[in-house]
Amino acid sequence: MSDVILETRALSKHFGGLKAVDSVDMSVREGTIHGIIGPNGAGKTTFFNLLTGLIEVTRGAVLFGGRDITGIPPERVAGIGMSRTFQNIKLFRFMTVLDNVKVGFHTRTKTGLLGAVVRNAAFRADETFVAEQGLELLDFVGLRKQAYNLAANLSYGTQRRLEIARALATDPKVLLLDEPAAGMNPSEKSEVMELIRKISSLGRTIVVIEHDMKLIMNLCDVITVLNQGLKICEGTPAEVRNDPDVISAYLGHARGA
Amino acid sequence: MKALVRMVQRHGTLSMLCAAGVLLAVPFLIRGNDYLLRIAINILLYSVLATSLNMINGYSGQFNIGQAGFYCIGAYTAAILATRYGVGFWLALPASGLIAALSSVLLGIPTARLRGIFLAICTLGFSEIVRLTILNWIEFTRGPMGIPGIPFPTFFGYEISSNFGFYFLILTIAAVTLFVCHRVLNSRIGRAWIAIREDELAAKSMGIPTTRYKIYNLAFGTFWAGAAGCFYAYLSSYVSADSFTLDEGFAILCMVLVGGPGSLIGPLVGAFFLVVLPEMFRFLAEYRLVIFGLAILVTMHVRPQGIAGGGVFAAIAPDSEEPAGKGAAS
Amino acid sequence: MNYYLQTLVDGIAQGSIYALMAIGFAMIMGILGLVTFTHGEVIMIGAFAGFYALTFLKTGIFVALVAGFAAAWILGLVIELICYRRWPKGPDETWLITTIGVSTVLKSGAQIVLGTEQQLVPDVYTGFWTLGGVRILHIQVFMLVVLFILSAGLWLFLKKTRTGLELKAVSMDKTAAALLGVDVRRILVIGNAIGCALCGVSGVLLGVYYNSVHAVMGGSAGLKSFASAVLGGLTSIPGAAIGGILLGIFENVGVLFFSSGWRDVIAFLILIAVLLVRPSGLLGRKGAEKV
Repeated sequence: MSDVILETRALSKHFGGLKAVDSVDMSVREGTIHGIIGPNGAGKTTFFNLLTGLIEVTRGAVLFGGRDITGIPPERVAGIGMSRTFQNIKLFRFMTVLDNVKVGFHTRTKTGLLGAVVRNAAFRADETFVAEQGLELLDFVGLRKQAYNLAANLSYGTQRRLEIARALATDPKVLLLDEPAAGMNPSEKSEVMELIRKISSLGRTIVVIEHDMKLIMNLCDVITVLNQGLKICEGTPAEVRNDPDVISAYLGHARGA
Repeated sequence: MKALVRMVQRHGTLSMLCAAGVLLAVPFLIRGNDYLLRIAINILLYSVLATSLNMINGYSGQFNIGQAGFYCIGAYTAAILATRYGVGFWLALPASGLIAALSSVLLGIPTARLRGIFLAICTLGFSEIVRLTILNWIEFTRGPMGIPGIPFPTFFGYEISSNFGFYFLILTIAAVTLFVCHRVLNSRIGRAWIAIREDELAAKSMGIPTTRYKIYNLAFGTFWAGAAGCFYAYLSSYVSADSFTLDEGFAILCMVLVGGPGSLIGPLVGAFFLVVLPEMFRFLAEYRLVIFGLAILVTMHVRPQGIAGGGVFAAIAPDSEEPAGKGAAS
Repeated sequence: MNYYLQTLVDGIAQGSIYALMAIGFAMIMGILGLVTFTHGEVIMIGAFAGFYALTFLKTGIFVALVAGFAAAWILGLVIELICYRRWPKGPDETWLITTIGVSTVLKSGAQIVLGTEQQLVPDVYTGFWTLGGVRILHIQVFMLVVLFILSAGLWLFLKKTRTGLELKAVSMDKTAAALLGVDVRRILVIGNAIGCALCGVSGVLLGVYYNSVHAVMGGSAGLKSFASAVLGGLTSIPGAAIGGILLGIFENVGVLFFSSGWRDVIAFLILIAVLLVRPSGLLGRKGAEKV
């Protein structure tokens, strides 16, 4: 059994009286693809926001590689080895595709103002490293050809792939994907699935939120099911599929909607 | 227009040389005409000021409307250093920039972490406070009397005392400003600023300490305004708080907005137009600021990205491996 | 002791003007979700409307107040037309920029049309009472009464009328309000006009209290309405009122220690201090306005 790399203990977020995330315990093992599913409003994105420090934790703890990182400021999350994508794509729209990825290398380079002005050896080394690695990453996600286009001009599906490339640029041990296949057609979806497998095969741990059941069942080693902020089930896809609580949560939701 | 832009991009170095040639030739062509030389100096001076503001508003997306305050701090720093401590121009120049940058850090610490709008109002207030402080702190600044008698700058023993000389001085300052800005924008730091402008939350998630970088950006931008202030002090040999009202700040802002924020060339175009326009219609001199205000409104309604901003200038890129222009910073 | 009490009284009186400005500001801020830069100029136009009513038409103070109210209301409609209408959901900065444009045009236009000199505003209510050595001017009481009546009116309007309720709904959540069938555009127009009109009235009072109106008075007035609104939590209307009065008191106390040339500096320092220590305002919810 591999080690647990990301763990939450009784993690909770309350907005006033609303318990968006309620005492969730979850352990993500290194090298796995871990899915998080649940009906709309189950607290999945809030859960991600708690992991990455974007919102304040009400109670509980987040542990990364055994170290307590609860309440870490979001800008330090990338530095410790965790990176994410966003449900509503958040690219740097008026930057080129390559520059988007280059920004991802921020924590891995050190050039200061003076170096940038005089273009000293350290600066040039940094820039070469960033450009080469950036293009390689774009190759990896299949965007090399569009490296010098504006991110804003990419199609929807392509933007999602760019966001993944940008997140990878921080060299994360754990990659958090928030609905990476949302709004995609079936062929794009299978491409993304392929991409996620490829990332996983390189030894990175992946936590993925997704609505598409088929995708998540095919992809994940372990699935956590959230409903109304509570964890109602955790297990392999087969276990989750047959869990009565999960079925009722989803059916109930379907009936409600 | 598009063809011209293409050409400029394809032959970058050549066009730069052409521009440099023209800028160097201009003073010789109008040497005897002090009026025209003064206009040329003003265009360059406002180019530096507009570029300094563009670094902030155009690239990190912070909204500073009180650049005149930092300009003023630079001018007074130079004036006080020169008249009271006998500091020469070449030392006063970076000192003025640094003092302006330092004061922007003091302003940025409480405001940069808040929503952009706070910075906007606080810079406005700050600019006004700088002016009021200078008017009231008479022992230090001579208040409403201003500081006269700033000596001429010297360059290796030569005294720069004519408009002809001042033209080359400000041309050098402008060139250095643009060069440094261009280099910084095309580095990790510049990319971080643009990322913050585009999406602060995503920038944070990429590991950029956004508050620190916003303050950093503020300091970088205001540094050049401070340096411009130093030049202004030496140019007019007299400084007074009246030259640095909020209107002056709006004029600089207007140049950036009309010229095109977020492009290096935009503020230059804006400075050119908004210095030349009131001169061409001298009977409208009184209406200078009305024209500026209207220019902002017309720009927002007709071409919100500014004359030289966005569109063909900011980001044209063919589907190829060749970087077009200078990426985001061109 | 009397000296300090006197300062307090003057501060409260002056604060009542700031309170009115800040209420208008908070109102606009609430429904636009954004600061407007035309605010100071609206105050200035209101002040001039009142001034002309008093001097040329020789009307009483009440007509002058109505003139300021009406002029600012109309200006509010024009501002909406020029600055907001084209960009209903515009990027944040667009409204900022357009209002800066309009404010520049108004301010410099006013200097040309109305002159750059201070205009003398005739005295209204010159009498005073003396209470235990403290002088209370009739005009000061009058200003407080105006503030009270207008805030009460606004409160009733927001509480009891359909438009008022819609206004509150829009300021809480535009999208939700639109889903409930509120005509957001109409509410925006009305809310903006009301906010401006209140500022117009405050402009008239400002002119009357200091016996002068000035084409460039908008700058410091705008800053003070912002400072008061920040003190009160930015979008809270009662907060703005209290913030304004507090600012008036702070300013007058500050002037005791420094000279009156520093008056505007004090307001700004208070603003910075509040932003530094408690960005959500003294009365606002903590963290409400962060990022």
